[in-house]
Amino acid sequence: MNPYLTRIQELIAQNNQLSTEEKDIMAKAIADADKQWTIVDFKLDRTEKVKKTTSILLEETIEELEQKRKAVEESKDALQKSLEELKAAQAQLIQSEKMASLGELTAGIAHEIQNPLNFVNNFSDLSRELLEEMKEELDMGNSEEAKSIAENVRQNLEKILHHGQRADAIVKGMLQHSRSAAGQKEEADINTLAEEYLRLAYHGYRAKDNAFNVKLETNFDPAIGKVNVIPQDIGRVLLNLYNNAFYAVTEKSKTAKANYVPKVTLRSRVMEEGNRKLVELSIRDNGNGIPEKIREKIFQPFFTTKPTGQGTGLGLSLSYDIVKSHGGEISVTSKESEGTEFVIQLPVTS
Amino acid sequence: MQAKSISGNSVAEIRQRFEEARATGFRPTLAIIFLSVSLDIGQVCEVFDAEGIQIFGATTHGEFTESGISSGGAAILLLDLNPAYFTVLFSEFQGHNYRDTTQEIARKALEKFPHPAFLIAGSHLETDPEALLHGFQDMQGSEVNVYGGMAGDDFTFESQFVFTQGQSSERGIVALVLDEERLLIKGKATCGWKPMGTEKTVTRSEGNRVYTIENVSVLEMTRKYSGLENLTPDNPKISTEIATSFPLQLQREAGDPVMRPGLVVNWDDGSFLCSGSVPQGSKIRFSLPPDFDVVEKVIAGCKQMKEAEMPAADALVLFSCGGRLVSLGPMITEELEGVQQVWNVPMAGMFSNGELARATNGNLEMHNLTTCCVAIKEK
Repeated sequence: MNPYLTRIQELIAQNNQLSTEEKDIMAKAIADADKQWTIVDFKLDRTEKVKKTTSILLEETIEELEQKRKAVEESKDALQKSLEELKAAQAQLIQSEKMASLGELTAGIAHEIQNPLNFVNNFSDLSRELLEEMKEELDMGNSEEAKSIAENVRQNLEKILHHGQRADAIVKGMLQHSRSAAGQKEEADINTLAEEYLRLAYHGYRAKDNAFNVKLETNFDPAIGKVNVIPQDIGRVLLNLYNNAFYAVTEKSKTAKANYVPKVTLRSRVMEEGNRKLVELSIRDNGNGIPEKIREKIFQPFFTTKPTGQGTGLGLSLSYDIVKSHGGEISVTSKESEGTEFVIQLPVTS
Repeated sequence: MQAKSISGNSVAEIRQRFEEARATGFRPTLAIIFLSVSLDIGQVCEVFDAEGIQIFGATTHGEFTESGISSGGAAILLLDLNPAYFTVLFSEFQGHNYRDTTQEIARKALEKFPHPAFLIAGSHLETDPEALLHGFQDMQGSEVNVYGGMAGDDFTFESQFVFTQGQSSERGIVALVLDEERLLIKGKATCGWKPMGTEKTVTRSEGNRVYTIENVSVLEMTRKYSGLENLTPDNPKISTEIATSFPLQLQREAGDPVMRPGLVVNWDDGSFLCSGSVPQGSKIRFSLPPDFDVVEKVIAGCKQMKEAEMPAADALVLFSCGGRLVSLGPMITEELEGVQQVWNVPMAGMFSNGELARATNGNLEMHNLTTCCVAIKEK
């Protein structure tokens, strides 16, 4: 018992003026007070201990949290750096893909430039001869004949100019295709664009593989008119799809029966969906088709079924991004061993 | 069903109190005995066995009835329950077959009653109490009613016993099987310890033994964070101080955290033998004792149980953690008295090394630092 209470207890016991009953009441009150005293003492002691532990734990916790904050900050910086590196790598990859497709185009472009060059050379040669003749006629005083020859020369020069401009357009297109900066949207004739790139892709593929043979079919809707697109970007999408189609039919040729005729069909049409007017391009091949289990993955970056070194796995992924950035859709339907059809839908005014 | 509680600090005193109870014509059939390891288990059992009374018993860190707490004595709840409504089963563990053992007990219980409930007590600090519970759940599903505690030994943490007539074991289990078609049995555990500090990972542990937290020995961790002084083998109170002042709180992906206090320190490797298993890789937080109002919370919880599930009871059995005795000090008396007064019926209880029950909205599991109140009523 608490010594003060013990003293009070003793004083009560010694007091003869108090009755036994009164002493009992006081004794009970002292016992209750002692009980409460003990509890208060205990609470005080425990509170002190808990206070001490709490302050240590809080101090340590603050220290730990500070360390974690620093670690998070460092991680954030590292992540930021990784993100920047990743963006740079991505930009480089996109540029590489552009250059790779340019490589694929080179043979086609050479073929395309060769034609106007032949015209330029032939008509230049012819004009040179005509000018010699004209000179002879003038010397002989046949001015009427000389005028007629001059007219022929003028027509030749127009043809030279036309074919020179054609070659110029091809070279400009090539430069546009390889440009790293984003292009501008412009009114473009989709049918012409699709056909030009089909030709380039075909010649490019043939340049790589002499044995390559494919039956090309086109079916254009003349009602399409012009569409607002970035031509070189849509060109890259088409080039990709053509090359994939050529690859698919080439692969099938290796194992197909002798009567197999590799065929790639390009079709365009204009359609309406709700209030929107859409242009649809379809590229269909009769190759091996895409197995169902990988169909979902083909638009993922770096996914390729081609052997190492033959595909970056970025072609369809970039095509998807380009079509999406034009507000369009790209979809695929395929049947194993029968073929694949890619369909691009672009809004006429995007 | 009539119930009476008796207590005594010696075999002679226990015998005398028992005879006084019988003198009123009361003829008990079952004795729930909680006693100190300092008493002779065999001699105490003999008092009741001689009258054909079945025994469910465990040693304690302290025992109590509605008359008060004792240490070094015995608290006994006598019930005149129809012998057809209950049975006592006893089994010793072979190795670590805790789950198999309780599966077998549940199997035997199901042969006797279609819906058995269990009061159990287990012994030894290495015993995995959750494995014991899993065995019952394997046989009777997750909703089985199992309540109980792990035996104590007056805070020496050396030898704990469970017993029945003619049998006692340092590595065993005693189960009081009750027919739920004849008896209503409800229980609830309430804790109140508060988590403190950041979450940490247990980097090395085996069963109930925890070696390292964040690759630092758990002893060093405790030394660093707890503020406890005199953390040396020479301090005789060190085990209780660690267990009650700075228990680990095991965090779980599902369900509330459960307490896992360290009971015995291995001074060579700095590991703790904890009450209950602490899986390697699990997350823990340190914790501090509950606010002083926890006593009111425990009593309020019992009142809520009374209103919702158990409007009347014939007897109460309490399993209260030994840690509460230390951390609540003199307030523990208020808690025990408060709980008893909710139903105001005879009560016996023990301060244990772990409690087996459901917490509010929780699963059946092994707790620590809780008070588990079990009310029994004949239908």
